[in-house]
Amino acid sequence: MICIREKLLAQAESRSARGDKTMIKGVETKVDLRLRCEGKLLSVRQALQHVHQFLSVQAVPCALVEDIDLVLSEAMTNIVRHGYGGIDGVIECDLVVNDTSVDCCLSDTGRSFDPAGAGRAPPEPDDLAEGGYGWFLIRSLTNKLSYTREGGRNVLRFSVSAMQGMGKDGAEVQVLSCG
Amino acid sequence: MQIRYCQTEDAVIIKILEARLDAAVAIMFKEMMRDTVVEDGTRVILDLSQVQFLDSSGLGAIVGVMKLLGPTRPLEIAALSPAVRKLFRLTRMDTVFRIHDHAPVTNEIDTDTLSIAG
Repeated sequence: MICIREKLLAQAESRSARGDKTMIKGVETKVDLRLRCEGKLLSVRQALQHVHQFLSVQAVPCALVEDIDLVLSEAMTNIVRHGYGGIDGVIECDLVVNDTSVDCCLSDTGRSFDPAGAGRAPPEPDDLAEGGYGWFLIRSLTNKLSYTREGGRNVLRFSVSAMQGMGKDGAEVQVLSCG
Repeated sequence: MQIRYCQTEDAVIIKILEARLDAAVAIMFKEMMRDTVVEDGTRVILDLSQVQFLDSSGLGAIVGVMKLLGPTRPLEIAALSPAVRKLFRLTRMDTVFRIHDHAPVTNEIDTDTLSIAG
């Protein structure tokens, strides 16, 4: 895995350790993260562990880090399963850290899709569905959500704010950063 | 992926020894649970105290395990981290499962650790 502190100092590209079969390459500035990972579930898992660590170092509130982790996991899993669907590909993830929110941009060269109708209705718990929660969660935890197809690329943009999705339980928001 | 299995007097306690129960390991978890023998009439408590991150694939696997076990072996959930609790609340699956604040204390000697590659 990539060492964040060294990268922050060097502001240079780095690669995952030799022998690591998944490819993750990132470039960071003090507040931004650009990350590329293979369109595979294990690579997504590793990339998100890196994002989690990066945001924690930036002193982003723990609840916000967890929301971003979840939204990215849902969106990137969809890209792997439906966008690439077994075909090799790369997912690019750009993050910009603001005072109370994080802007995210995901792009891939997989199949195009139209998320306009996805996740509009909340899941019915008594259905005991084993899937179909992803877009509902993405919509619940983001704002400024947009999807465009740009020159053969799917581009999904959204912002995640500290209070998003908390509803009446807003008091639960933690201001402590993640350890 | 590792889980720890413990039989107590009135329940089987399954502890997930993984910080992230996500799409990459959800199927492995379901397969491990499919291979776990639980007698009819025994409740199963899933100890999530080590799980700091759960996504909808992991949640789907937990729902799938509940369906595999069926009504005679009810699946209950214990020791949710704030992020995991939030996912249960957002999806309203907290209305489906019996949720305990803490997992029952078990005797470590009576436990088996089961592993699967990945």
